[in-house]
Amino acid sequence: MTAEPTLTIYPARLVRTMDPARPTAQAVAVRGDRIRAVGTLEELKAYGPAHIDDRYADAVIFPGFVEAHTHMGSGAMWQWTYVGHSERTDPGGTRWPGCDSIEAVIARLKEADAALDDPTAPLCAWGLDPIFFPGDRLDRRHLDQVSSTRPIGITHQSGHVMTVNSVALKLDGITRDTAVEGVVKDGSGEPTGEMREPAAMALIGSAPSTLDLRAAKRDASGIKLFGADARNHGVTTLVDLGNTQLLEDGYPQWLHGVVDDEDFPARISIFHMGGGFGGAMDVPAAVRRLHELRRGNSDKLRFGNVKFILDGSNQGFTGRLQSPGYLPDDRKGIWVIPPEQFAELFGQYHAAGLTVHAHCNGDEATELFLDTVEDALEAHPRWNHRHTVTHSQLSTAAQYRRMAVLGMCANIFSNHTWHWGDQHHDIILGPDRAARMNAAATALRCGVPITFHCDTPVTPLDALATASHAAARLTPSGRVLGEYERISVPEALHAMTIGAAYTLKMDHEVGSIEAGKYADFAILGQDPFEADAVGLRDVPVHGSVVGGRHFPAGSGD
Amino acid sequence: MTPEGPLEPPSTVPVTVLGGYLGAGKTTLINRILARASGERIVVVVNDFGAVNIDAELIRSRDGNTLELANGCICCDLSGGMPAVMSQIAAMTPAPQQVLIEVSGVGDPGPVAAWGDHPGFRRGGVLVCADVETIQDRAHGKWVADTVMHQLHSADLLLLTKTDLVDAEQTDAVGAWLHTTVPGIPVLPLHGLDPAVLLDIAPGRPDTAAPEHHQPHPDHATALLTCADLVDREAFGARLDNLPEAVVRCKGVLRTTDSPDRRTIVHAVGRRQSWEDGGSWSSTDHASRIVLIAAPGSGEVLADVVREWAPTWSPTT
Repeated sequence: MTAEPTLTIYPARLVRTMDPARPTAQAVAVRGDRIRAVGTLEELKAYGPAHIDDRYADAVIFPGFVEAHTHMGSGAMWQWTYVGHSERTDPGGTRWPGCDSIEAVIARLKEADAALDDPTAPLCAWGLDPIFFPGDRLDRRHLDQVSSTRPIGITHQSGHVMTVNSVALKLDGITRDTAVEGVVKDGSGEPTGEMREPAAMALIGSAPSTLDLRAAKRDASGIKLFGADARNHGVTTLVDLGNTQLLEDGYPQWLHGVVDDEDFPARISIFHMGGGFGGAMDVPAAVRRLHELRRGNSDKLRFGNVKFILDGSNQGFTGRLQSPGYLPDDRKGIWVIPPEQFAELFGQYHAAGLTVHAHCNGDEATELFLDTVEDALEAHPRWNHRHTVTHSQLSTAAQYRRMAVLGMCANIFSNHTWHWGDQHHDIILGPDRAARMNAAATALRCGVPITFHCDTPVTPLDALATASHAAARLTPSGRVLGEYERISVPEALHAMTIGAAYTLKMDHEVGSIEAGKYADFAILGQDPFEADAVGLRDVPVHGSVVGGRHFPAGSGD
Repeated sequence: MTPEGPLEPPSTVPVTVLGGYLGAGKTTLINRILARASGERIVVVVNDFGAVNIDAELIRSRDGNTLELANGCICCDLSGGMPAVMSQIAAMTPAPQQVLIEVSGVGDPGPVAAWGDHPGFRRGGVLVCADVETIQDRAHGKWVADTVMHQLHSADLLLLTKTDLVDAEQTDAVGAWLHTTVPGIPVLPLHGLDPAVLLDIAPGRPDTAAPEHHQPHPDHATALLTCADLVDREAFGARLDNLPEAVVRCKGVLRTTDSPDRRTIVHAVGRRQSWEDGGSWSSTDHASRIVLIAAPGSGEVLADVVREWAPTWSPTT
């Protein structure tokens, strides 16, 4: 009698490895959570007795995608009703078509209203972006068509505005006499239901803002939905960029309990928020904590990297621009951390040997990051730091040349060409700079290692779509936004696998199908290399494999 | 049950916003306020405790984002965000006398002032610190010129800081530059100012109906004035607008033409005025009275104001 073989061989229609030394194969052999070998079925016989598992015989085995800029709290968003402009699919696999008019928003809310049993229960919605409805403003009168018994609150995509119905205004005591700045009033002095900026938004307790991602990061069921979303799109490594709670007692251990569970379908690298929108300023304490957490890193949950936020968002006109400023009025956006303070804090993390990813939407934010890295390197030379400009939406050719020299990477927000591309062109930046946004081809020409991201919940977690948008640069109106910044499908897929892994210093563990790496796969219905740039977003995903465990799409939510 | 006698509105808590670029002296001012306090319930909201560097011996207890100090003050950090901090403050019993919110070094204090509109609070003014050594360079520099200009424009009162590091001419030059750059906003050196003058932390209960209880540092000249006639709200507002900038603070209780049966409380810090209903008059007390407080060394300026406002307003003893 022989022992049950510990080796499993998965034959496939094609194994696409993203390893240029062995780009395709017939099958992959897995032992435990690792890849034992890749090759022809004949070659794999050399590795001893094996069990042949045919479940992927008709599928394409691809490296699990790596998403290096998401937010773990995004899974919890699906407890609310989505009313955004782009189509999304929730972690349970339900399609939510985009709401392309105010009427469509109302119709969506009416469906949600009908689905609630308690007529007084709040109805909270998210994703509304009025930039798509110029000349038409949703207010309480629209929402009053949905319900006169329950409070309704919609948190706008920007996070800076809410719109509520009359019931919510009544329950929260907001009247024509409410003198809080940001409570918008109509011509007769009555509140319209629009609440601008946090001081006004905070008045709404009856149907509160859906933005509390901080609480969502302590919600195990929401984190599991986040994992399910990844699984449905073949994403096997995620990044929570970043987290303000890592210094709190017990929280990282609690996260280990959630993510290390063998049924959780992804690896997560959690970045500490170093500054900008929260984050502790006591760097020595944070560095000690991160080193301590690092020692407890598991196969699936990683700590030790640092996030900074330098500026706002371009579609909110708050990304920090070099001259000239935004199209309408030459404004230049805002900083969320003083430049000198960033330099001081960054310098300490850099000297402590940690990797920093800094949010830079505008090109002046990129410029500050590059100046800061250059100064820090002069004071404290380091090799292989992989500091990364994340978003990098308006980084210029000159800045990419500097990134290359400084050893930096770029995690580019190419999804914007699809989600806001027409608005960047028409309203926000103008045709010239809109065409050079998210300049992936320039980055590659300059030799900068790149990846792309979705920043979920800002845009959907869907790695193939993200690669497709970077390659096609198509806008919803049919425009190609910056034809010379398009890249090839293989380049885009490289960026979403081994390219992303490189920015996380995980490229020796994930991002390609090679012996010794984690057995992390995306199971696809066709070879994405055969798809064109636009068709890439429609390649079917059957599910994922994480550390040798199988997670079919849409299963077990 | 039926309430007997006049129903008094609860007194509102002033929310003062402290802005200014990184290094402008915000933290120094906060530390002075905390060190000076003795029994007043001041809530200070800061980005991060680390920067404030509170003397460990002063800390009575720490709970999450909140430090309670032995002198009665409370420090909250912003780790949970402004909405959470404000609802925490609104739930405090007894209510604090004063809230002071420190804005980040790149933040625009203007929108933050809106938190003072929340029920139970009032706007206490936007104080913006301007470091006389660096403010002009920053306002023309590479990264933050527009950021600094926004901050200056949002101020109700500009406080010149670090004046001890430069000569008087430099301070005067910066003051003159600010008057041209952001006209209409009073400018005062912070040095020598009693922070209590800027806030509403007179000792004891913050009884806004009793301005004479306001006892600032002896360096500050004060004038207590009273008026037997009804006060026209608009005209009095214009009087306050036209005060010399050395008159840093006014608080008073007025009998106004539009609401003579009720007390009207007015506060002014710099160019910020706030007006609110102060409940019914007591049987013995109907006259409008105010206190004006001048910056140190400005006694003559204040005396001129008193002369100018006579005979409508006359000094009391």
